[in-house]
Amino acid sequence: MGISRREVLMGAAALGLAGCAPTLRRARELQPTAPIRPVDGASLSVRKLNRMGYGPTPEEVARVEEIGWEAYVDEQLAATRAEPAELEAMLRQLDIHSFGAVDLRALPEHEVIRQLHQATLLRTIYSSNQLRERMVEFWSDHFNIDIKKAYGTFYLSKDLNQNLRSQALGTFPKLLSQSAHGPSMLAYLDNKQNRKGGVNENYGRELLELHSMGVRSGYTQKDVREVAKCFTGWTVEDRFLRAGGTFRFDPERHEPGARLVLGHRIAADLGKGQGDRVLDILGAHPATGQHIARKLCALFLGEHGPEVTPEVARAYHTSNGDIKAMMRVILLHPKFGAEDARLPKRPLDFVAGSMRALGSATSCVGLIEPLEKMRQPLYQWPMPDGYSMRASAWTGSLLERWNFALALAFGQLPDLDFSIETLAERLSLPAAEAVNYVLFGQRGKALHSDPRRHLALALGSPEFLWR
Amino acid sequence: MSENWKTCDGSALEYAARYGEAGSDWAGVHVSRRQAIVRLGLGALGLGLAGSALAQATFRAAKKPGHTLVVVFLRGGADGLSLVVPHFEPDYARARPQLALSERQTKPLDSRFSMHPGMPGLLEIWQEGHLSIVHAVGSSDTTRSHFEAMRTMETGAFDGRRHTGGGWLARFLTESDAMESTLRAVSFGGMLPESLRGYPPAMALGRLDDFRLQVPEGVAQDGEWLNDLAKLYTGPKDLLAEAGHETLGVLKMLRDRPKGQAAQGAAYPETEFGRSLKDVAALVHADLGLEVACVDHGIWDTHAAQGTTEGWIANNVGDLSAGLHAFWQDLGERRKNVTVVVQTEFGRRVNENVVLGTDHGRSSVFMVLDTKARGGKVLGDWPGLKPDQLDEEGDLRVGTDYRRLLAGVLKSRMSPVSVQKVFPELTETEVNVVN
Repeated sequence: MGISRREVLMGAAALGLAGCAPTLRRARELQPTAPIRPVDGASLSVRKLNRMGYGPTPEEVARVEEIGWEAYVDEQLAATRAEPAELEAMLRQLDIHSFGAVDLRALPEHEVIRQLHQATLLRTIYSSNQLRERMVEFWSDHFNIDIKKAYGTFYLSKDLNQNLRSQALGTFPKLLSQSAHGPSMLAYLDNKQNRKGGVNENYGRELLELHSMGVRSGYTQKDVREVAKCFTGWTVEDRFLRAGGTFRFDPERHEPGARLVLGHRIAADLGKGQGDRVLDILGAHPATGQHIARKLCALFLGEHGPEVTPEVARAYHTSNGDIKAMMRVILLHPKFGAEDARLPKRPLDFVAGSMRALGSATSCVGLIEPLEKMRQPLYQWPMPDGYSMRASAWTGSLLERWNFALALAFGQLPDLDFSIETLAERLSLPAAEAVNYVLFGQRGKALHSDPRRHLALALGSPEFLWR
Repeated sequence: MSENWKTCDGSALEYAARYGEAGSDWAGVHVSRRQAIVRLGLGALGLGLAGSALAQATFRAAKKPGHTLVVVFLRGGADGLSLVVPHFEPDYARARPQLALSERQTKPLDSRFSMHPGMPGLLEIWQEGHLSIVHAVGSSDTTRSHFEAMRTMETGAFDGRRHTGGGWLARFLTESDAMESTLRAVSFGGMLPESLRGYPPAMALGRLDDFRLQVPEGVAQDGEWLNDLAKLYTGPKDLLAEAGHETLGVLKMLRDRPKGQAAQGAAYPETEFGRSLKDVAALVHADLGLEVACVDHGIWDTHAAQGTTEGWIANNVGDLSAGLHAFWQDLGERRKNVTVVVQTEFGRRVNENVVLGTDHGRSSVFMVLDTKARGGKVLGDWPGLKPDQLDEEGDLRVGTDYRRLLAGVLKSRMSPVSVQKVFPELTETEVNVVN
């Protein structure tokens, strides 16, 4: 079964059919064309949309205005808004959505990396469920995978685009368990090799330190070792003629014996269940709720995060780790959208945000290299802590942002299309004011008489560096 | 300044580090000033054309060549026992039946230690007397977490979680604000390291040649764009605006720098590390006032299949040695103005594991390249490899606190600065490994 599909794919690759990629022509169908009325005093909504998702479009600003922020938040939490048909069609064209890890290996690695980027960029730019996409990115940093390690390129798509996305607004314990079972994580943090007589602590340590409780939250070196032993035998299927690249528990590799983890006794006869038991203990541990709440608050509330963290941590506990419950507290908090939150745009925010604001049509292939130059090539952070949320981590990316702004404004990015004139017409505003409105929610002033130069400068301005 | 370090939290510190001492303009008002401007919303966009041009931005060039400190960080925990082998310890071979390097395979350094054979370049530098090697160097960190151990070392703290804030290099740069240059501190090949956090002018560069504005043809001169952008980035209103201001300064400096400095027989490896060091040498030769350069090397996290004279560890030491050798050649006469420190967050467990790798340990090797190095003998207190000499996890104990060595380098090589300010919790005296 696997072999024949693989042959199909290889044959297709040979014919140049694989990667029958999303095109600019299709993306043009996603461009808004209808006139839209600018809203007065939109800068608060712009900040909220910048922080909740990947930035405003004039249409979303109008929708917030129309139904109110709370109703808008509920819509985003439900994440059931219909996706544009063309977006879905473009995503379906990608091989990474049709084939498993083993079959994908028939394709060159760079091709799969391109598709991973395209899928994420298309969703961040065009998805109607912006909060969900923001959460997918947050969790993909929290459960960081470096695709350049251990065949991550081929494992990631299923773990990310099926499992993680489906739970991005689900419950944290479920998410934690999915991550633990995911071949990409099993390979990335070496649990694949964690076995009887050869205990590898890498996953066990990061599970406690990064994924759940957080560092210095009460566990000991002994807990790390015990946790690592619980996960012995959790590996990736790689036996001959089996459906490879999936989770597998190998009882032969499981270290026998009872364990003591964080004061909980874990029975010897549980086998694979020892790992599951650890995940249950961690999911219910107060330190985990505290750790997740702190990180979420930092992402969405910046400097106001610490004051809201206790309330979000409480939401974690009363709801058994329901992510929606935590996010509702955050998104409806009076400090959400505050001017002085100091939340930096990371390169993905910067790139996706400019696309959304301008109503660009793009297949997204031209956005991959800029992201890399701005130091955020997707899924390639080498250390398990994920790309940084701190502004100070991104001070070296400004030149590349300016170069991106210049190339964008002057139509030099491949496979990308937008028009300032159309934007100005839709909004019935002079070009520079239209640009300022979609970027900042205010009409502001023109920085240059040439609208394209104004656009390049506005995108390159200090104001556009912050969410 | 010290008041700012004590009273500010980590985030405010980024401002404090830069403006705390810069005069009454900014001391104490940095946050409110920034908030005031943020409140204007479209501050620069509204006021954009009212500012003056590049001339107003202060691009400060160094007056005379100062000293440059290059910090090479071996990321992931380098196995010091493979780099500098204690062949006099019978327990070394016992602990590593598959991974031990025999005395015959290695290059003698002194009566006790020998060097991994894959580092001919560093061996040559050692023989020239330009290399100090200290063994069993580490920090207080016992979490054996990469992040905790790196944070501890890069913050220059006893405990990375309870440190006084910012990176040790950032504190050094702030404290020794003697030489003013936009290009005082750079890092290559990634994001700004923790050690430079708290010093916003520090720049994270990619490749030097690519560091320019790419203005579409026929649109305008790049100088015109630099001017237009400079009007938006007139000054310190927030961390990123300040970074933009500094970036523009660097762009102008690099555009105007003297070019054509050829490497004198320096064969840099075609790797990220080689390219980064080549750029550092170019900046040193260009006299732009570079004081601190951070370059990462690695990944050294050799949990499995680390190899001996071939494989992972051999590739790593080969690249490290070739890069540093080429750099040292390239510097030529300028060597006397440069010190290179090579450090790593921790060493690796003495016993090899069953997948022929080594797990996280405690102490490792620390090296200094300097024309006045104390060579001839591997330095440092050696805790020993006998089972009862190891720590509770079976790791080589820390013989020398890394801070004592860094403090020694700062004191003997860099501009005068209070060690207490850079390493506030350091109670032991510094150790000089350069004369």
